[in-house]
Amino acid sequence: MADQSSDRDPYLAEHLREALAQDPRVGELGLDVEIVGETVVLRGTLTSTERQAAASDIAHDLMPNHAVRNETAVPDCPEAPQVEHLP
Amino acid sequence: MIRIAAMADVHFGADAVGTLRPHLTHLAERADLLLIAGDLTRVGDPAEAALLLDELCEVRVPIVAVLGNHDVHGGQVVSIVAALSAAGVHVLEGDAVTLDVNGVCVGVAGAKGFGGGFMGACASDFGEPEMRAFIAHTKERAARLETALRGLDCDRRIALLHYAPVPDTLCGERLELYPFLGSYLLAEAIDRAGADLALHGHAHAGSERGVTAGGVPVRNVAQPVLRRAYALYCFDGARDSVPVDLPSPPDLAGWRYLAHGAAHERSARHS
Repeated sequence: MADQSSDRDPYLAEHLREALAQDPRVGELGLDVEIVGETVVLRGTLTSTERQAAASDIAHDLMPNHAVRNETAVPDCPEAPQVEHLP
Repeated sequence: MIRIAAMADVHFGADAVGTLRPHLTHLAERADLLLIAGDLTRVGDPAEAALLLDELCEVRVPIVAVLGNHDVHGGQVVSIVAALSAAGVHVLEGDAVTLDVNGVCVGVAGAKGFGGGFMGACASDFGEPEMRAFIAHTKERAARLETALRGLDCDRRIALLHYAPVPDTLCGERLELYPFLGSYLLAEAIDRAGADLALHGHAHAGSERGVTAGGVPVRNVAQPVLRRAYALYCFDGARDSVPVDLPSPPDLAGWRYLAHGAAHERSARHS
């Protein structure tokens, strides 16, 4: 897809967000996309570094003239759970 | 004592193989059953479900699950349910299962649920067919959940959902998303039927703890919320979970909106 300046297309961030949800390499609905000048910023959580890298690739593909700052996190899942006692 | 491990939003896929298994090593020592509140797979591919089952193979406790929106995305629900069921996972959708846990009968009623929003800001069964179908889906899933809960004859009753029944556990999500994250109709079903606990996922940026209007504890067990592989909840033996004493809901089926005014009238069959 040809790059479109976010100045000309105010809907571009949402199109990228939808692409991140629909592309099976990522498949995540809950990512935030913000376009700041010539940089697209991705935020949210993903479950693997592979999906994190794929998110950057998709953003680069859709917006080749923008820099991509991927601030998504792959949270560590410590095993030791706390126990809650319920009535 | 009944010990329940719960998780949701695993979103498992080929790139996650080996990441979950180490966290589940001691689960059977800590819990009597594992409940999974939907989104077992990334995009609803049966191969992803098979990979998750490999990851769960050392979990030596009964596993009960509902599917989530990611699991239905690929249009292969039948294959996913078949794979999970063949491996011994109880997959619920508008039905229930009872399990003997240390001499206590634990019942789990499950449904994916759906969106629609919460009291004061929810979609209505009005207008375009698409909007009415959206709410009809939620109503149907909520009704099936209530029926499944009412049908349980057991010591402890748990409602297992993917979508949220209360807004409390969405705290942290953007308000605009609430109608897509859950529905009050699910909480109403839980309160009318009675339950000891309701579990859900879906809201990754939400909060863990909430409660229905009728006082049933609600827990959002999405892994991004828990920031760990699973949560643990304990009950001390049997207790009668009684339905909340609510009046019967009004029957709106016979109401007809009069386009020329704000008045409503009963149709002939209700007059």
